[in-house]
Amino acid sequence: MPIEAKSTLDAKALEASLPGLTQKLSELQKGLSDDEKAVFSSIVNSAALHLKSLQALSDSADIIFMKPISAVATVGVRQHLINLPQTLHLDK
Amino acid sequence: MNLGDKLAALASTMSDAERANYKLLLGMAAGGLVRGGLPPETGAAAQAFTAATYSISRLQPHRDRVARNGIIFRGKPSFVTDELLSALRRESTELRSAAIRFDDHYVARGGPIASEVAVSTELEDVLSRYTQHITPTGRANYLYYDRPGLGIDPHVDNEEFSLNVVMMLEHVHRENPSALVLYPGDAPMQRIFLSPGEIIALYADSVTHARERMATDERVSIVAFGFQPIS
Repeated sequence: MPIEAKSTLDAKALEASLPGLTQKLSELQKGLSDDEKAVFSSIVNSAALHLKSLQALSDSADIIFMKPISAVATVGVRQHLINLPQTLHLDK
Repeated sequence: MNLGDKLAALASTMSDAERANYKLLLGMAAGGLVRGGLPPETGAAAQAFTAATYSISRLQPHRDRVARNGIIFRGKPSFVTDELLSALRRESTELRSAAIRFDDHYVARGGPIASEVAVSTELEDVLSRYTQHITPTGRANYLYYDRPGLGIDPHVDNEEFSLNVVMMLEHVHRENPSALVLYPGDAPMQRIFLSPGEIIALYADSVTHARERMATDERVSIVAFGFQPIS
């Protein structure tokens, strides 16, 4: 039987998975020490700021191909990750 | 267990879609933390960069295939003849006008020559000597960095380029050429300078990587071939 490559995840599936991802990150955060929380906060905030800077480049696009060849995210995914510091109460 | 391990362990509880978004989050964090191509050296930002790149290298089911230095293969295989290199360069040049700008570089879908290489037994045979079972995705992209300032910040690739095989087609520069930079997560960053026809293969969904910005009178063109691991 031929082995086939995995199919590409579609935008709908990626957006639908965001609440579950957020819940898991929230649970993770609860178990972190204060030092680890500071580092985790740096990760989440850095991602949000970086995404925001990219968003400014192409505000009008429905779909943004970010950086690579490569990572694709809808406006919904982008916005969710930009808002993640607030959602996880990590906004500075 | 340190934070990098905790972040990596969390991925084992995730669906493919959740993991893809998680990887995007971590990749964007790594990209945002780098300044002038260099990761932060002190404080929470430095720890965040280390934790992000390390956990990215441990996210995927094929994490045990990821080389510590990030490189699966580097060299000029015998099937890359002068004729093939010339043909790929010619096709790259022909497709430049159709390339689309993605933020900070230009990409064109490969033509017939690149597409043939992407699924060739010659390329697969070379790779299979250095990593376990893989299959070509059939994706081939030409990438162009041909204006000052073009490049790519640190990032990770999607599953169509889980194993990304990059061939240098042309690198024109004066002094101090730009590099392909790898941030393997568990080893020091590496600046890689490829010669025309030379190939580098890396699990690009697991190794954070970047292309340094083009200087004046510098240009780089490459072709990338996508592969996926299979069990």
